[in-house]
Amino acid sequence: MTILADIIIGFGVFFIVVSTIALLIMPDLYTRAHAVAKSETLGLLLVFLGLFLRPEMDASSFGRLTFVLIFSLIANPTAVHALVRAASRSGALPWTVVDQEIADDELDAEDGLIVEPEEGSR
Amino acid sequence: MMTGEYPSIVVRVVCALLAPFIFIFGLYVVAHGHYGPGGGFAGGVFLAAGAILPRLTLDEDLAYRIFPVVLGPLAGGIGMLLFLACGVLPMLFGGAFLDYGAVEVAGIEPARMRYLGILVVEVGVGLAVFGAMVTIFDVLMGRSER
Amino acid sequence: MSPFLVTTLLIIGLLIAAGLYRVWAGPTVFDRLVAIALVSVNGVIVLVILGFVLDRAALFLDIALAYALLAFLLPIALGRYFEERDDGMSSDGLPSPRRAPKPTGVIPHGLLAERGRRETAQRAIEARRRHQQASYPHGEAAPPASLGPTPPRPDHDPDDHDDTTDDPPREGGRS
Repeated sequence: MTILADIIIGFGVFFIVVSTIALLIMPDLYTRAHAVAKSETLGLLLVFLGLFLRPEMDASSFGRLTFVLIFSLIANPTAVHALVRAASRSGALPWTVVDQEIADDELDAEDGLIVEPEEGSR
Repeated sequence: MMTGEYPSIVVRVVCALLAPFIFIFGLYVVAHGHYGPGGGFAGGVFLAAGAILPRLTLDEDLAYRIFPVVLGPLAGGIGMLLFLACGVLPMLFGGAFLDYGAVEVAGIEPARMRYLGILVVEVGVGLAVFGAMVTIFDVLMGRSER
Repeated sequence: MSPFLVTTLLIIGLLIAAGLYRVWAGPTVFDRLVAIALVSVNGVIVLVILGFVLDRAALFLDIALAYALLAFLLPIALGRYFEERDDGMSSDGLPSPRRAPKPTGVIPHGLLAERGRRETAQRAIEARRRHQQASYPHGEAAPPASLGPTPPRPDHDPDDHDDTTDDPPREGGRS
């Protein structure tokens, strides 16, 4: 039983490590928030499920741990949703727009449709 | 304004769902302050969080009907009075301020009296903190004049 | 006290430190807040495991629950606050993109950039170019924009796309 619990906790720690690394290296807000909202919650779920199977578990901590688990499962994605929604309303653009500039310049050059806002529209 | 209906239905539903549980957890922390972590102050903060969360996320009329503006100063005043009464009462029996053991009630020994006194003082502090936090929020939101 | 749980505790403690780097470095306020959400979830896990390691699970689970409740309140309130403030995105010195022309519709990306979506893309590109010229007037290479906010043109109505006046070089930015 303890071996099984340790395996599950190990998987949970793996997901938490992955989401923290994603928070550090991902390029924009939306991808970082994706890591925090989903992967981190899965890691928390697995770690707590593993703790349920540990021999240290007793009756008084069972109810409390269940409540912490359910609350975190609901609250963490909601909090990140509220943040990302506010950021989106404040004008955060996804990272792909930056690459799109280069890609569309190449497409324009192929078509002979050169957009020159430096001299034209400005 | 920070009050009023939160524009996202996810946040609205989740906050409406969780606010009563936060309030109950505040009551638990206040009542459990003798042996657990927390006590009056932390419990009062959670009670205030349970009251402020509907104001942040729900419709204004609904939120201010659940916890009216007048509840803040009222709870704060009652809490302070409770604390003061509980502190002064032992002085009438010849003890020091907040020295509950000095209160002599027939059939209750001093240790039990001390226990009850701490509980009442915790409730008073919790009410005072709850009232103060809610009042601060309402003053910041400009809703305090009513 | 099992060595496995202690190891887990140390790993997640290191992850908290790693997450605090994003709180320190995040280009916008919302990056910091998202990082704080992750740090607080890690903190809840650390508190719970610490309770089991120290054999005082009931006490530490109460603390963890209190911490989780407060960590839930923070993003709700602060997200709303910074959404309604105008300078929520400007912690890196760039102006708020709130009044900027937002690309409408689906932003095409990568191989999905079809001809039919060209118009949307061009609007984003033009906004981007205007921003770069306003922000970096001396022809420096623009820093790699990790979060691509499209900043405003200071003097213009955001919905007005085809005016011909010149933007003055923006002052006080990253130049």
